[in-house]
Amino acid sequence: LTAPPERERARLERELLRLQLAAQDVAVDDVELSIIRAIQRELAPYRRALREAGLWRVEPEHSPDYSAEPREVR
Amino acid sequence: MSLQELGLRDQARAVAAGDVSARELLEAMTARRDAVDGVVNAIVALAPPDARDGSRGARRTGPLAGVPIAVKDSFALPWWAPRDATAVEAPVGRGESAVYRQLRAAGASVCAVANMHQLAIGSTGTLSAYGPCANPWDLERCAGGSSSGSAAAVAASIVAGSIGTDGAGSIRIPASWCGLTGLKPTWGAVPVRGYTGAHSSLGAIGPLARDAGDCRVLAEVLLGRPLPRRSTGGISIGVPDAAYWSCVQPAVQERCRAAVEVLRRAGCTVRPVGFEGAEHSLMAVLLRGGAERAARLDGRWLAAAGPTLDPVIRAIVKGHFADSAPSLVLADRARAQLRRELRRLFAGVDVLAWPTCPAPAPPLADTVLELPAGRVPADIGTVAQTAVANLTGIPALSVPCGLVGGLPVGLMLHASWGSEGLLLDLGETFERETGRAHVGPAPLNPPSA
Repeated sequence: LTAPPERERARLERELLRLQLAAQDVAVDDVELSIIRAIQRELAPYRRALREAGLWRVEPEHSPDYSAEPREVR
Repeated sequence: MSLQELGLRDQARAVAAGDVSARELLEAMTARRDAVDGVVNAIVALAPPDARDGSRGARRTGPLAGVPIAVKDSFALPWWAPRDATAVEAPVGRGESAVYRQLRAAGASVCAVANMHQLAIGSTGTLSAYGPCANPWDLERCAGGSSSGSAAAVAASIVAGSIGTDGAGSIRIPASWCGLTGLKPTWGAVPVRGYTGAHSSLGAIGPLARDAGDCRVLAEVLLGRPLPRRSTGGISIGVPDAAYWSCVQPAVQERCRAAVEVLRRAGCTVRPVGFEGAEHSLMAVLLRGGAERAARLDGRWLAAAGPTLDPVIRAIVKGHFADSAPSLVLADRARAQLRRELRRLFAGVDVLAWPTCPAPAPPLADTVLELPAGRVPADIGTVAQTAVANLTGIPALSVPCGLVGGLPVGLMLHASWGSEGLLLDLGETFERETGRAHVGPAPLNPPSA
């Protein structure tokens, strides 16, 4: 298999996004899809950095109280 | 000096001394609004005359007796159901929100509803069912958001104090761009009943005012406790250079460094600090805020209100539903890391300081910031600076510290949970040491003047 051409890839990504949202009962038109895709592209480096930072290793904060400093991890 | 040139404390003092009546202040407020708001668009509704009249049902005593106050379009009022700058009323409906009750108990006249960025999704104040809100310093530029009208109303001298909300910087960004002092209190410190964002683990309700002293009066009313002044001598300030200063326009950086130097000369100590995980705060706040919003604005709400929303806002809201659960888990891990990092930092310093916004207000027609890294959308450039306080719950204050190209910029100060008073003390120290050089309303004259 060869990678689809860029235009076809973009079409497939839009369609995937449309289906993803439809699965949540959220209908989108072409304009909305374009805006969502543009925002996703803008945020892609930040999203990638979050994904690749190994944050899954960070001990979660259980029942955090944001009005006070975090409790010590036990 | 006209009544509208008086700051909030001066207005309250004038009423208390009997030099001016609450009714006269209200009349001056409406006259100023009539004169300038056609071009600013800060106020979207005024209380009906019977509710507006300070003599009916209002307490004649209290720290805000007779003082007109504007609140963001996110609070239930007896005469107004909030809309969050959409065309539809929010489910909270009309009523007495907790903020309204506290302001009234302090004697204030809650007489105006302020414009905002629609659904509080944006830092510019450009997208609103009421139309964009202009910056009184330059009517072609953004007031900032999402509490755009709250800030512009004070900067344009329509009111001397206002209430905004801050879920990712929405008080501090417009405060910075409009040359005001704006406080985001500790999460949960101000009661949220009757606030459309009451569901949020990020949002806080806070004041915007001309100076730190006025901001303190409003903060004491909102927090329901006194914030006594203390000396700022010996306060230690940490400066996270790599995390929060390098992405800022050089001229903004220069004004903010000068402001930190003023505090150092006033007796504070200043030292550089590292800040691990700061680079994830933008994405974490967008994911967490988006998920909380999506949970509130479900499919039924979208079907009813969606068609009336600005197309960009509608797309953003719908886009939240595409975010994955693993992303949200990572966002919450980043948040936990940031909270622990702040606990570590506040064990070594009292306060952290960096520029509120990386650039002055951008044009309404092109909401992009010119930064050292290139052209960055304003929502990304600003929220990357402000989000950490929302993710962690700490209080943060934006203090006006100079002009760049004739536009205000602000220094942002952060302190440990519950330390609002310390931030306001430092704001007042800075104003005193600079001879209040950076305090004052925008040089806005009525178009007919």
